[in-house]
Amino acid sequence: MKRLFNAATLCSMLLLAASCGEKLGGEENAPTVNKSVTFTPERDKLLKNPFSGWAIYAGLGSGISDNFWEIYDNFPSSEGNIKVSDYASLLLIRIKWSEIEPTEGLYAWDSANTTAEAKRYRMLVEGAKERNLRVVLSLRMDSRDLDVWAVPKFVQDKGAKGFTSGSKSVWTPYPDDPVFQREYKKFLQALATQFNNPDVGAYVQGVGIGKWGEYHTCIYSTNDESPREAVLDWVCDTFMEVFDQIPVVINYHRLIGTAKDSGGADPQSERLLAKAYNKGLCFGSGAFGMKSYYSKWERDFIAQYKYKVPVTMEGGWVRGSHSMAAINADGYATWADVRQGEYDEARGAFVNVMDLRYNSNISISETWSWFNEAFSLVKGFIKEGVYRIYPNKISYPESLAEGASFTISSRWCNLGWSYCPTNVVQYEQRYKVAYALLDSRDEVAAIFFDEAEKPSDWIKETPVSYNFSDKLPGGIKGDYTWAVAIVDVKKGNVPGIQLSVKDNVKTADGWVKIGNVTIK
Amino acid sequence: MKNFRILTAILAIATLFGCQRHNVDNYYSHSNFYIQLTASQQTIVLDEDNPDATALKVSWTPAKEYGDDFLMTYSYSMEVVTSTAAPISEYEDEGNFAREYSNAELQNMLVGHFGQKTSTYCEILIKATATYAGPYVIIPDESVVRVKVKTYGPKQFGADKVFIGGSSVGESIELEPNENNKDIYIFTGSLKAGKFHFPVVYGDENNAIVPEGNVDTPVSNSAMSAGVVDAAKIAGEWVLSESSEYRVTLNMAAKTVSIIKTEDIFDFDKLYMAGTAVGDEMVEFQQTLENESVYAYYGELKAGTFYLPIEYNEATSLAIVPAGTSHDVQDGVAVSFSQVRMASAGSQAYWTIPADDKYRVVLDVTAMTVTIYSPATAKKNLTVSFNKTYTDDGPVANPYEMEVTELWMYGGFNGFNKDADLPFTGFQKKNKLVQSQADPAIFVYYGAALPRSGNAAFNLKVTYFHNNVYCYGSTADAKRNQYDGFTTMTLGVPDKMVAGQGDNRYAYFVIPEGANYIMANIETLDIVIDKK
Repeated sequence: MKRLFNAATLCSMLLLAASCGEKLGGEENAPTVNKSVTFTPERDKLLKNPFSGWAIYAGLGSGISDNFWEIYDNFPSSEGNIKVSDYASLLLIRIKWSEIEPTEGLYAWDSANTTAEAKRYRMLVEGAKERNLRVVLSLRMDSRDLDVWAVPKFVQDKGAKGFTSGSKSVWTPYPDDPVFQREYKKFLQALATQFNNPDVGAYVQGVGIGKWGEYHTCIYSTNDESPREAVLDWVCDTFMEVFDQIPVVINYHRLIGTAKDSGGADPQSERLLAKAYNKGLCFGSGAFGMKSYYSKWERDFIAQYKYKVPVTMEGGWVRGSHSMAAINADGYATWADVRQGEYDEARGAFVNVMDLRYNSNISISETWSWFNEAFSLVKGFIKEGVYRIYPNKISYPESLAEGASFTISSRWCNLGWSYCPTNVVQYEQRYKVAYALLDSRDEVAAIFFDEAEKPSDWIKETPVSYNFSDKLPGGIKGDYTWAVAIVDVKKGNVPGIQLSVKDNVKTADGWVKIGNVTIK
Repeated sequence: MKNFRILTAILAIATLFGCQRHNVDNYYSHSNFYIQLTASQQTIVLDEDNPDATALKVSWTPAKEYGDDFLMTYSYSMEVVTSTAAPISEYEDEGNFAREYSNAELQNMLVGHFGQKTSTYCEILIKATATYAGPYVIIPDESVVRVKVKTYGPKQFGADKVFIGGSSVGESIELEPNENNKDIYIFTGSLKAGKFHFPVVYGDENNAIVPEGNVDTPVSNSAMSAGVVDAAKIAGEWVLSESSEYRVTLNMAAKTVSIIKTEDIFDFDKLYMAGTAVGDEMVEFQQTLENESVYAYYGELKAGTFYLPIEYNEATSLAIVPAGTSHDVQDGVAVSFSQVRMASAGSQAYWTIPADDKYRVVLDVTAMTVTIYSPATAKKNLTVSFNKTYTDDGPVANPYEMEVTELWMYGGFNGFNKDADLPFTGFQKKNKLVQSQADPAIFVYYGAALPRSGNAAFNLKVTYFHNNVYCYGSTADAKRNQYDGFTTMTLGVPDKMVAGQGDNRYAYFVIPEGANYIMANIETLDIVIDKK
């Protein structure tokens, strides 16, 4: 298709831009005239921003293929072979404690650890780094339904109390057991040495206790639910203390912390989850698309936290183990319908992250299903789901006197249904809107922070405008370029969240060039 | 931010109330539909010979401006109204308010993305929309045009009018679609030795339906594949070597042509049994539940004449009689049959039933054979032996032997409901499998969709007096008093049964959703559950 550029429109835009001068407060008695620029949004390109995008799922058990990355780099799709990491931002690793620390103090990242699980761990983590994927930790400390212990034997040897289950008599510690709690915290601290860093870790998905690590069907030492709230307090506080640089997600399950695995919502669940929210945790669910397990309670619950916390989604239906009859009974005619159902539910919950689950038989995996039965939805989430924030319009001074005051006006937009979660505890002192003067080498000569411009306020179809005023520092003269970015103040003010504008207005570091300014 | 949102909400509500005081349609149409989309043509026939030539140009004017407080976003989309494919849509962020499509681009889009047929018209709906985000709600500004486009490529096997023509026919004759099936066109009449084809008119095309490959093809007894070509490009026809009365059937859905001499046609709506072996009144000859190609009767016949009248188009003018001149029954042997006028049936042409007795008569309409079994050759009911524990029909006498003449469904599928007049819980007459008239080893349930209470499970018992009787269970592993077994059945997929009075009584079949048909063969131990 040929696109005809409308010359008349171009002319009118240029005239409009030229006539968009605004008199704004500048140096006393010498009002500056600002120039306006608008930015064309980047609507398609994958931006691997924090807490956003598709998560590739993997694990450390024998089910994971040793040539995982080879398969995922040449993955069959309805549009030919693709590289999954070209569409994903995250690698979620399902982790059992016993896989990471089979004997006390020997971790999977230690070269002396030569277990198959440790090798897989290193293969996955190194592969993630090579593909610019941040790692999500999905923990499981409950052995039920497993053939192996989720928790290493030394925890029991140290006196932790628990229970056995299944034909293999696998052991699970009681979550309220003090020895378990002490040792678990040590383990989390060890994990934090590797992942409590947003350059490597993305967030922690779930706190690991309860059946399947989903924090329901809990068995406490008291054989009742009396420790429920105390355990929730402990586990939330512990995770928030240990992971102070990456967010922590808790499952918003209607039976959170109860001994039950199904049925109606427990009346205390909403209050306890609110408590977790107030402690700084984010929310996620693993039942998206299952109309019995993800229904009114879950929808109503998460609606209360819309744009307050980021939300992660994981589909509940599993192509490799659920029958067509089962999905038919849930109102889906095909697996493509299931994917659409999950997508619609994800959009309804304004989720930040969606899942690409794994199966060793690739052709029945959810990842295969998404790329072969719903590829348009994979792209759809990248295009319309992940947050895409950008300055739609900025007016700036083109000429200033040394040390003069200036005002920059901006209008910010978000094209995605999810929001940019810079309000979460671990991010709020990290990411800030900054304007900079770049020199001829695109290096920052001066930087100005606007604390009023909060990316977490920018939501879809609601542009937000600001006027930011500051004063140039002395000693800066000459020709510069105004630029804007959301910088990571803990990393020397480098751009930390990519803005969704075309690459041709960005520097190599990710600053968005606004326009030139001469300082006399 | 909070105050800003409250103000937005107040303004939105005020706008809505304001609207109520106006004539809403005029108000919005005047103020919101400012953008104008135009297309270079309203109807396009895509040109296959010029793929790169421009076929369609579209452009639109800028939308209404609402000032600097509003962010305006343009989007552009194309969709085909009759397609289920998603619209092709894009944002226009750079002010390019025009699009241009070549013949090949439109062809690929319509056939490749929207799934439209080749050489067929379709309607494209093209839309330019401007949406606004700002301090209060503004209805999007939108303009739509519709363009009719005809794709190129292989012709469609379709017709608005159908004729039969060629040297076998002489002047072409228009055919009418069959009343019951509009895809079927039938010609019945004389055809000379020569060639024939089907001229058709389809939309703005004059085409011809000819043998697949467009080459001369001698007629055969089976359905012949057909293709469609431009009427001016006929290179091959069906070749008829013998002049006669024929029936020619064109099936537009199957894309086939069938030809048969009228004397060889076997059409019927119903079949009956008649003759002195049956009595004064004809008795309907029933289709079996397990095979729609088989009709069967198992019962008394008297010594005398026997034939099968055919009802077709509400007339009973023909009857099935033995081929040839013999009246003898070839006991248990499948024999070919002829059709004769009813006037001859029973007087000149018929089978002679040798003696009063119980016979099984089976007609296979696919094989075109009739088999009459006397008691000497007829297959017997199968007998089972089991430990009888109930006395409802007489004292316990073990080992107990029983001829199997019916099968009863038993399990949680019906919530273990029972009929009031039956002695044991779980048994209902409506959930009984009846014995086939054609084969006493076959039992069929065909009726209402089966209930799926509980685990939707059942197995088959030979009688309704007790649940511990001889049983046909599933192959699932089961252990009495320990655990039950379940085989999840799939509609239309056969499975095996396990016969006996052991643990198989605790092995169940799980009924698929919507099932209303069960066929069990207690000789081969096959079972199939289906939805019919």
